[in-house]
Formats: sequence, C-alpha cells, structure tokens
Amino acid sequence: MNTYNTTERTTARLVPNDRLNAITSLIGEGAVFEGSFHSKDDLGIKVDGQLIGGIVFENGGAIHIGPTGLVENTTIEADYIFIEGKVKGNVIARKSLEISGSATVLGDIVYDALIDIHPRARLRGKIDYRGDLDSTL
Amino acid sequence: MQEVENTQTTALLTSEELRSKAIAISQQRGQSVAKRRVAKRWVTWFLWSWILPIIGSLTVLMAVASMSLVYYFGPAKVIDSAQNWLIERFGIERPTTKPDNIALEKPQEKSDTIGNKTTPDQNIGISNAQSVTNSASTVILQFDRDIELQNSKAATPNNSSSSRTNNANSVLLPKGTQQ
Repeated sequence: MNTYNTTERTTARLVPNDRLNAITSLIGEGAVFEGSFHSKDDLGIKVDGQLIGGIVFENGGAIHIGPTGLVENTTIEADYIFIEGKVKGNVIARKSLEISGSATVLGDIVYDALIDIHPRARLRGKIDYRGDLDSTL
Repeated sequence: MQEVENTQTTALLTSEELRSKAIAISQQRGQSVAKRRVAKRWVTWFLWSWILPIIGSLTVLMAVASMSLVYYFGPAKVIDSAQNWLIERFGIERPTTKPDNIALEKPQEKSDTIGNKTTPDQNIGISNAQSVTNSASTVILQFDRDIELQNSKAATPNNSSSSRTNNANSVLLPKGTQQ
C-alpha cells in the first residue's frame, strides 16, 4: 500500500519518491533517540523526532529528516538525503541531496552528484562537491 | 469477558500496515509544519527586506523634507500651512477664543507634604499645580503673541526689524502688562 500521495508531489525532486516511500524505520515526533544508526543494507529512515547520534548507510540508503525532526552531533551519510528539519552536523550524500525551504543545516555538506537547495533554506557550513569537476565540463 | 471478546475481534495491524500508517501520519503532519515554517520564514524575509527599509527610507525622506521646508519657508509659515492643511483635510477647528475658564486665577493650594495622595493635585504637591499654571500661561502667551504679531504686521508692514523686536519683547511680557 502506497501511503504517500504521489499526486500532490508535482514538483520534481532529486530524491525519488519511491525512495521516500521505502522508509523502513521511523523515529516519531516527540521521541528522542540517542545512539548511532548503522546499516549495510539499502534501507530508509525518517526522523520526525530527535536523534542524537549518527546515521550511516554504507550501501544505498535514504534518509529523510522530517520538518519536526532534529538530528544533532552527527554525521549522516546515505545515497539519498532529504532534509526538511534541522541538522547539526555533517551531511554526506553519495547520489542526491535535497534541502527544503523549511530546513536548517549547521555543518558541512559533501555530495557526489546532485544537490538542490530550496529558497529560504538555512545553511551554515561548507559545501563540497566530491565529484570530478573537469569531467562534467 | 466482554473485553476479551473485543480484543479478539480487533485485528492487529501487520508491520507493513503499521509502517504505512505511521509514514502517512508523519507525512501529513510534516506537510503542515513545513508549510507553516516556510511561510514564517517568507514573512520574516519580506519584513526585513522590504517593509522595514521602506518605512525607514520614508521616515528619512520625511525628516529631510520637513527640515528643508522649515529651512526655506521658516517655521511659522510651515506650521501655518500644516494647520491649514489639517483644517482642510480633517475639519479641525482652530481655537479662536482664549481659554478663560482655565483655572489660572485659582489660588494655588500648596500642600505641605509631598506624596500625600488624597487628591491628584496634592499627589505631587506644589510642582503639579505650578506646571498646570505654567502651561496655561504659555498658552495665553502664545495667543498674545499671535495677536500681537498680526497687529504689528498690520501696523508696520515695512519695518520688519522693529516689529520683530517688539514681538520678542511682547512674548516675554506676562499677561496684562503694558509695554
């Protein structure tokens, strides 16, 4: 059962909807989780509550920080990362990174392929492109 | 027994259904929060980027324009023009009679103790009564000055320096004093 209303998502997203729909773990709003979240499989996690610690997906993976979500003291790493909430720490996106207008990121950002920063997103930190600059031009 | 039957008839959600429902609720909640936050950020940006600079610029412009008007035309003409504009725009009547009913000649009631809170005048003692009297005297002097300005202009239209001196003296004279 596809619970995401795909018809409402008219805007093109760098993070595919099927990746956002394939969330396997959820930290609900109001919940506080302390510790590191780690997986070698291609899974997905959505954070609506507070996560104090890191999230690392070694292979694949999708991370969705919801608008009510707060991730701090962390490094989050995955293929697809979609940030709508607040992140204090470093962000590493191997395929695509999308930062919505409601997001706040305090930390460095590293991405390999695609990045999309919406208007009114708040960023404080360094943005690094890890790909080959010469090959793209 | 009834509760046991109810729990047995209610089907438990599978993990997939639970996950789907949780994500759906999260999505709905997240959309409203995100919209509200983006709207708040937009309003903040609009306020700081447009509204406040416009208000500030208009304030500065009006201050500069007022100072220029006062500089080129003189304060009396500017005040008179402003009063005329107020009268035309809002229909405010300019006071034409002296406020005789102001209790100027009323004997001052000197209270011995400052801070006696029986009446408002006695509340702050002598200074309050004196300030009322002084402000009323200022009003009277202002009216006298206006009338004498008009009279002096009518009497000596060419001799501006002497009339200015007379007016200055008349302002300093208390009410009822002969020049």
